[in-house]
Amino acid sequence: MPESKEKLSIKKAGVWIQEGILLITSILFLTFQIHPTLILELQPSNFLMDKKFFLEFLSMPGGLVDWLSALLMLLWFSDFYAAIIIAICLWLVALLTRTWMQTLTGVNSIHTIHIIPAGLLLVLYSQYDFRLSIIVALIVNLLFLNLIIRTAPNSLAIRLVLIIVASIILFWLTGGAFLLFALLCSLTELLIRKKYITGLLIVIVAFVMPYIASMQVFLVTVEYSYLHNSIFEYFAKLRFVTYSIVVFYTLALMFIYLARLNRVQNLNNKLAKKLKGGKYVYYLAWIGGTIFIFSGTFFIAQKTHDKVIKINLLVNRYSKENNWKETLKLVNEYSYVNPLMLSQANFALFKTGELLNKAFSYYQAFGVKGLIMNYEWSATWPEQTSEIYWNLGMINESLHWAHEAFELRGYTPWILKRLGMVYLLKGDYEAAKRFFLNLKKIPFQKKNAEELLWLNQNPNELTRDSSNKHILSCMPVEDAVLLEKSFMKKMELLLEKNPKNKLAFEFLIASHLMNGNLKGIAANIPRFYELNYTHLPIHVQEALLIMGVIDVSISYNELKKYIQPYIYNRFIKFQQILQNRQQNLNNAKPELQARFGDTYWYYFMYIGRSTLQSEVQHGYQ
Amino acid sequence: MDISSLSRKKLFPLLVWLVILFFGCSISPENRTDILSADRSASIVPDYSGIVIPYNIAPMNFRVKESGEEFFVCIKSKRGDEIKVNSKSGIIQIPQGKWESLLKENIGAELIIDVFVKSQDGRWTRYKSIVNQIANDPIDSYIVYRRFKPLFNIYKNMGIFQRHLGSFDEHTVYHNRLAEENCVNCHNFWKNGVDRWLLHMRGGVTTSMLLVTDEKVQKIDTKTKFNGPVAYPAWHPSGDLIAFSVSKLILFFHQVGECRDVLDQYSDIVVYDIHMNTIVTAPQISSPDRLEIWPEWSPDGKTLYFCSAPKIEEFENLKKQGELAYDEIKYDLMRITYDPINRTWGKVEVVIQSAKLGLSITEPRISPDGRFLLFTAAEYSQFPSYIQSADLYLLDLKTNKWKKLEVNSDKVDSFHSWSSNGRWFVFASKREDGLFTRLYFSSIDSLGNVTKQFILPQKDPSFYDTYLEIYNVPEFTKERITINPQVLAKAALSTTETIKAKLDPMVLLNMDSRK
Repeated sequence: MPESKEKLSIKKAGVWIQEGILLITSILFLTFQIHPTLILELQPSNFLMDKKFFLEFLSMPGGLVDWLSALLMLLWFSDFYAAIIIAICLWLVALLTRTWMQTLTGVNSIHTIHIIPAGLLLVLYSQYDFRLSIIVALIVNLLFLNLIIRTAPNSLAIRLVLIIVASIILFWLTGGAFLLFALLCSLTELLIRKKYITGLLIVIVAFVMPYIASMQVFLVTVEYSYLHNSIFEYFAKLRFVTYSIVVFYTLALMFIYLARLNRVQNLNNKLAKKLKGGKYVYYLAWIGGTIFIFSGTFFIAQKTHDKVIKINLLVNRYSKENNWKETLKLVNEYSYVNPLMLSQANFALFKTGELLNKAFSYYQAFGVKGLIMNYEWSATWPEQTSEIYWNLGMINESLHWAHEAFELRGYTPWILKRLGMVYLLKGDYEAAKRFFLNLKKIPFQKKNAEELLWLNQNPNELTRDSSNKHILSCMPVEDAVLLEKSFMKKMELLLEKNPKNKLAFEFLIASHLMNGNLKGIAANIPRFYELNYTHLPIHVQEALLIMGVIDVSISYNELKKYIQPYIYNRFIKFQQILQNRQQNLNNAKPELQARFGDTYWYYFMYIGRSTLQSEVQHGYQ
Repeated sequence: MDISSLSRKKLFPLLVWLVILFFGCSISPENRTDILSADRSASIVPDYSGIVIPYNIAPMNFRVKESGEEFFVCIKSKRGDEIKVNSKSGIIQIPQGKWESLLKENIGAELIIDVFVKSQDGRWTRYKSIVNQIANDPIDSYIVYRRFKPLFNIYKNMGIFQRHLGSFDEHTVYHNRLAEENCVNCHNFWKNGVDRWLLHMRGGVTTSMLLVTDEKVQKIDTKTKFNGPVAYPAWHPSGDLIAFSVSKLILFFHQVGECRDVLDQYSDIVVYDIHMNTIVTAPQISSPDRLEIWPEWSPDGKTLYFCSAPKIEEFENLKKQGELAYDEIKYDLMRITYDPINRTWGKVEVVIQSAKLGLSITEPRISPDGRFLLFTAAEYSQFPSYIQSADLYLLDLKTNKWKKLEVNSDKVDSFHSWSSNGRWFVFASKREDGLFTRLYFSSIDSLGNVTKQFILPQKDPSFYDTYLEIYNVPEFTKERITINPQVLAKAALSTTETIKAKLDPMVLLNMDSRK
């Protein structure tokens, strides 16, 4: 029995309200919980508005979707903008899913259930390494699926040809993601239209196509050919979610098949009669479903939210924004540390003038690797290593890691700018120009690039910028080769060029502290006064006190002029606790950690022991 | 409005204007009488002026680097149709078919390029003709090179490509995304053909040599008790043996200038027999007291040229303990006679002492007729790609005299290769910016006279301005490589079909006696 116009309009409104809720809640959840621009820290947009660049994408299955997604990611100016773009994509998934279900069932009042795939995709966004191209590929495939179902001719042969041609196009445009399209077309033929041979043919063609394409057409591996941009490409984490998306569409089709069976239809009719006055039943289902789907989605998203990576990415972002206070706050609050976070924190400490006063308030478990990351960590986060070397004035090292980043991440504004700037500072203007010209090809970077190109033509103007002036003053002039890869030697080298390179100096002292090289610290004391320190930093004073204990030839009177009384008094208390525990380090540890965990003494006794070899380990290969 | 209603007064000027416009546009600048003449040639990029070109080269598209509103270029020779190209942007793209016919009809003749530029005031200027020479000798049809972004430690996108020199077609021979993003290098072809060739791979299970013989791919693990993975191959003219160097490479970084540098902790030369799957060497080419590298066979197969330097320990810096005087490591050019029938080695002989040249000699490549040896010389090092002073030198093996070539620049010029007829060579140069290597070609006559170099033509003449990948290890081939990259990748990834090279027992005996 056809539904009344009033009922239909209520149901239509209900669906639109649900999708509106999806849009709004997704935007809110992404903006305030996920902070989607953090994703750019992990997967920056690799994009040039350039014909050759575009054609390279077209030479790969799924390349067009990759290109489009990279372009969309350039529009992620803020968390809010990014959230809007992602939320629209999720809404499109819901809309196209609903349209597909409505077309197959002939029922115009599908609600709630069609939100599920969008919800699951939103859950995947809580992982930060989930790629936008997977969603875009799904949208394109659902769009084609709807078009095929709505326009498919009755002629079996034409329909078959149409589906196969669409599969080929979709494979080229979206990559392995087209398999979902092929699977659903095949199941439609098998279950709905009862064309078994056609259905099987579609499946066979679809599953053979990526193999043949990878062998004969595209230069990609078989694995890439099948998986690229499909939901299964994102497989490492949250497997149940990735499976659920494919299972959803398959099960939905099965249910539609069952619903079309007479028996089920009869049962439906009986049920409908029993539940007469169904307006309320509809409201109940709508409200219950909405609550269930949305609360379920946000519950899973919240539960699976990768907070560790979020903190890492936040620390990265704050560092890039020179927001040192927030960087330190985050690292301090968070119990988990790694060389990336520590190097950012130590750099932030330097920027706030506290490196040698507060470094050991943080868990310096990685020794000098926490100042500049070692090869393994740098190879994952090359931009960060390049940045620290840049600030040190060691621009060949900065160049090295910027090139590694270029190989790893491609054409991003930061990398092109950094490479161009390094070559510009080195006086290699032609090389710099090439990077700036490429920067100009990135949307929204034209003005920036033109300014840099102007600077490249007028290098005398470089010193107008104080940071460039500083880097130029720190850059080594005479060549040096550090075959031993020693961190300390690098800092000494920079100090030879510019004794006022404070970052190099503090890193040198910090590395002496972390390596337990007390003599190295003592030897550098005059430099503190040359650099206008009013008194020695706290950790240096703490180190001198340890030196006084270890080396009996040094009396406290000799050290007295360097040590502030309150630090000396603290040290006495530190020693008393040790004596009370009969110098048993294990017994004394809890109390010392509670009272002196922020001191160099505690680091020296407990943490430093495992990191003293860091200097040796700190190499490139 | 009816046209008849227009007054004659209004119609007449309109017609005159249309006639002027029509004829004005149709008169090509070369036939105009009101043209100005410049007393110099137009500046064009890339610089395709005063060069000798093969008749089978792709259209040499260029950009006119003169300010103007419109550009007209006429390319002509003694015979055949002139090629006329109009351009608003100054980018001159020459039609392939017309270019091919013009060059083929005028082998040995001059190729004249006339450039006309229309200034803002509407006047045309004719520049002095650019005169190039079409050579009598063709160039090999293909060039094979490795292409990637400037490389440090990480490589994600690296491939070996083959470019048809008569057109702009480039196809992939192998791409590292097909096999675990491995490092791929040292492609080398027997006598510039594609019947027997090889390439090397580094990284995980793919570390091996892929040997292609008559379209059949074999993955060969060249590591033996004596040596690690091999590099820098040189095919024996018989096609049965390949000489390699085996070395332990250390990458290190400078704080000023070119960032990267490498040195060999040790290196030796070994010879691989492709039929016997055996690696052999001799004390003369793998001395523990010397670093031997860069082997190259003479065309008769009876002499092996190579480079050699004293062992690394001799460069330990006496002034600064523990430091190495890496910039004093200079390689001599050596040779040794070889009996291909009995497979015996003669005595090592110094061809050019590095001290005499004051430079380190590397990359010796002998012309197919055996007359010339082209080598790279740089301040130090066995790997000149990172030494900006690296230049190409030509040694006349008949007179034993050498000369620095005119094609050199103040930046790196290295990695050269001969065409099969010995009348062309290609080399990789960083002359444009000191960073990105591009491929340059030059002709050479029977007396060793070399002509001005020209860059590998590209469809878009502005291509090199923004292209951020480098070309290196260019090798000429006469034919197209038809083997599917996937077949190479499959072989590279295979763990079951790897052929383990055997070490000649005599080498083991020698090793034992050294102990």
